[in-house]
Amino acid sequence: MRWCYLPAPPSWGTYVLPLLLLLDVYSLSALLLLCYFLYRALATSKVKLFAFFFSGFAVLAAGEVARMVVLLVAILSGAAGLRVLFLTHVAGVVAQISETVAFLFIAAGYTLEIGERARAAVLPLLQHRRDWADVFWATSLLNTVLLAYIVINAVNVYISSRKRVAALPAIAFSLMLLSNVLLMLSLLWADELCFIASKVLYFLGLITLLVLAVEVSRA
Amino acid sequence: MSARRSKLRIIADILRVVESEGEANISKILLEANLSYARLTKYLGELESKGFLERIADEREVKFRVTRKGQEFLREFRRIEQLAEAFGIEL
Repeated sequence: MRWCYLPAPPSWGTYVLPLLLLLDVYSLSALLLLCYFLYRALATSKVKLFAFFFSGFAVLAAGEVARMVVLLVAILSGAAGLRVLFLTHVAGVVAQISETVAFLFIAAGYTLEIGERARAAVLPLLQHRRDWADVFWATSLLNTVLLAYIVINAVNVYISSRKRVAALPAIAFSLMLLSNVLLMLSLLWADELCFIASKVLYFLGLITLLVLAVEVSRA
Repeated sequence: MSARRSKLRIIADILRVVESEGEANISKILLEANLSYARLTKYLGELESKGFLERIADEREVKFRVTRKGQEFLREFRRIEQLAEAFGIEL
């Protein structure tokens, strides 16, 4: 197994894992709330586009759960050193792949909304990757491309409506895009501060989605 | 905004007109909901049978009032509308 070729995870002692777990709990609650409203919207309106956004956020939530389980195992087992390294890599790769699938759903939703064909031609990239390090980098790059595409569409939606509620997904996806870019840079430069900033930005993106879910629940 | 309204939006428009008036007669709904008489009566019948609207009839005219179920539907529609606006989905 070539996990040792993966970029090094953060090495700031045991408090980091519980902190990441806490962020994941908040992120998961934001995603689940949004999924709940999207599912209700789909069930009531029968508008198929809601299914794409629901599926995207549901897969993101599933990725968060997978990451939480792995982090929890790492914390509870008191694993140290190489085992933590291994487990955090597993968590990272699982979450990364789920994000790719999720962003594909969301990008497809925006694509169908504007009446163009889905651009899934990048998928074969993954089929030739065998080891986890390659999968991690491939999904990171793919996520960045997908997020850039999603951000452009979300900003277009906001520009055409100029409504506050439409600004929230645009902000959330922009923060996720920035987070993804910072994540890649942090792994490239082995910069821990950059890694933390990336996690915080991703968390802020999900909090923005939580604000959206709260606004919807208040409507 | 699309040229054609979905059935969901038409139902919400009718319920909104009636809710804003408290009680509304057919002429008022016809004017505000922008529908033909034939389509409106068809929708009113459907909304009544689903329990979203209740008919209040006296000697002079027929009026409609939004039921609790209708109010709940309107609340749900507002949520759907917010999500649709957020993600640029046409309803």
